[in-house]
Amino acid sequence: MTGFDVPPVAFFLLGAALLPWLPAVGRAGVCVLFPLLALVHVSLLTEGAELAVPFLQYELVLLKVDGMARMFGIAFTLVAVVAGIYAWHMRELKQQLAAMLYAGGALGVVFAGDFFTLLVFWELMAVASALLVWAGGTDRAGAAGLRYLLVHLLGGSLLLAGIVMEVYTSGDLSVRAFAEEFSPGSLLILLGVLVNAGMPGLHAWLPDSYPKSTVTGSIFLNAFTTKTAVYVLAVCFPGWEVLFVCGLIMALYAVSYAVLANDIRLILAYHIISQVGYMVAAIGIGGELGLNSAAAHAYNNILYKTLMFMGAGAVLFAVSETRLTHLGGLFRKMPWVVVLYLVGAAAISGLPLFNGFVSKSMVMDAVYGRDLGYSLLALASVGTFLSVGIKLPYYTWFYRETPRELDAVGKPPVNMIVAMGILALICVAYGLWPAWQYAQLPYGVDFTAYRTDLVVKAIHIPLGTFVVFWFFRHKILGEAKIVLDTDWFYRKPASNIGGLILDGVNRFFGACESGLDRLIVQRIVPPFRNPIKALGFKSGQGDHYDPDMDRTSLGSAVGLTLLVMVVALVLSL
Amino acid sequence: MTMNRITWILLVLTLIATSAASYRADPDTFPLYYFVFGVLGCLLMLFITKGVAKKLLSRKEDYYDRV
Repeated sequence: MTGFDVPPVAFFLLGAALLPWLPAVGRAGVCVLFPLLALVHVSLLTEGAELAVPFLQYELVLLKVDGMARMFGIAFTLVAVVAGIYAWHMRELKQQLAAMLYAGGALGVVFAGDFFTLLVFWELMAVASALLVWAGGTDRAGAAGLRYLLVHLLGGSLLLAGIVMEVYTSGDLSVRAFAEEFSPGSLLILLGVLVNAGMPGLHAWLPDSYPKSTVTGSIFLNAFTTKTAVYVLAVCFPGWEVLFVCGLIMALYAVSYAVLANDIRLILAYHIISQVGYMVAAIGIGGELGLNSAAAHAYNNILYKTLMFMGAGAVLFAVSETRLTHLGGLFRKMPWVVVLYLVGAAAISGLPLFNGFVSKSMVMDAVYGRDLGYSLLALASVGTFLSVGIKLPYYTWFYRETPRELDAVGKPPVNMIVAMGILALICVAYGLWPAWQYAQLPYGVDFTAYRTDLVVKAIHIPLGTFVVFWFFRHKILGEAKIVLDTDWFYRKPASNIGGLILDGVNRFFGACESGLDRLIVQRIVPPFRNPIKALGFKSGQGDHYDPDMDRTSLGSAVGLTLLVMVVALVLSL
Repeated sequence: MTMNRITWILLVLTLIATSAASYRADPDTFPLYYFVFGVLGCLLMLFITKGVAKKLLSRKEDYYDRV
């Protein structure tokens, strides 16, 4: 016990509360310092530490430390620190606030001991991250942010419904492993979490929104949402067979889209899903090796994936362009970015000496024995190396002379390079000394990454892939196009459904309006313009009353008065 | 980026060295299994994605902007 059992989210909430009162430089400092304090705090937390607060008849557990939570907590705070450095030049308060709250929400989820606390931070993440998408500032980002928020509110509602059912039947609010049976409660929770994990079918929010955020926004986005979902799956659904299948689908489906994608941040976005697929498959295998490998892969993925997004961000920052068909030859303008990106690419491709090799080998070891699944994951790793290992760097930084419209190439600021350097160093360090990673894992490890068969495999698959790529390198780039994904199902009909609902209502009110218009303005109003004519007096002539023309004779006035008097007399009799 | 002769020779040497290591560690497995897997896997992936999916699913960039 450190005697200081504060939930790590507190650091981020405090930092966020300070931000609006500080000058620009101070804000950038807070965005590095507070995550750094949180990182130190998380690494000092001892397993078993707990902080519970009574709330109504329940007990809310704001802090519950175990090996799994600590591992994710360290990765999240570490990446928040580095992302803070990467965003040092960015002075927009809205983005800084959203990023702090978003990172805080992720830590809140990871250290939550009960489902109510978890849900609150889950929703905090959804809102804060939507702000980061909107920060993109374009019309497309605005629309994508709205879709993003709607999908996440749906996911959050599924989660809430599942939690309510689960608590109602079991009376137990604590975050715990569910027995592998499909009760309505556990199924809804699973669906809600799979939305955030990016399960194909529920995933389209991710490639739709992440590439439209800002340079720094997508750095934060890539790290937290999907990986908190992995954490919750690992804690609540370990060994659920269905997750193994889900993981395989994720890994292959997303990598195929990555091979097709033209936008570099879109390629990386699809790769988030693909890599999360490895973790989900390992969780589906379960057991200590399965969970260990899922945790290790999540941890490493947060590091190298952020590094790669930073490289893509540097390109966007420098040339305001992210489409491969419009890029090329930028190596000389940003050599450090390329080298550091390639470290990330080597790591995600599982090349020996990099951290991805260690955790990917662990995952493959956990899956070993399931022949089809094993081969499918190996096939996914072919796609990984093909798309982010060669295709992305080759067409971005090499391939041809820099297109003329990119002549005015800016330089990425030093803080970006420093942030990338830190992550690259960590990636290499964990690759060279995997024992550091084993020591962090939630369960005891009996695994050696540098086994001959694993090393040979990790070198041979990329070699084979490279040969084919090089042979077809002039055909792979293709044209500047987009590839439809499942968001088509709600984006395309949206205008039709909108038409159905809005147009129908509009037309109804339109019809009413014109009908009433005809009735009142054209039938009822005109007679009153000249009542004399409407009443049938001979003197009534024009459409409008004219005292000189239309005034009736005195006789008719007298007659009318007499008539009224007679009627009054008759009635009073 | 150009691939000159030296780079190719280095790649082939890597392939030979790793295959030899694989054979020494476990003579029963085909040492080039995963190299072939990489080649065929890459061809399969390119064929499926480019050949099939791209024809069906690919659209102009402003597809969603047009109403």
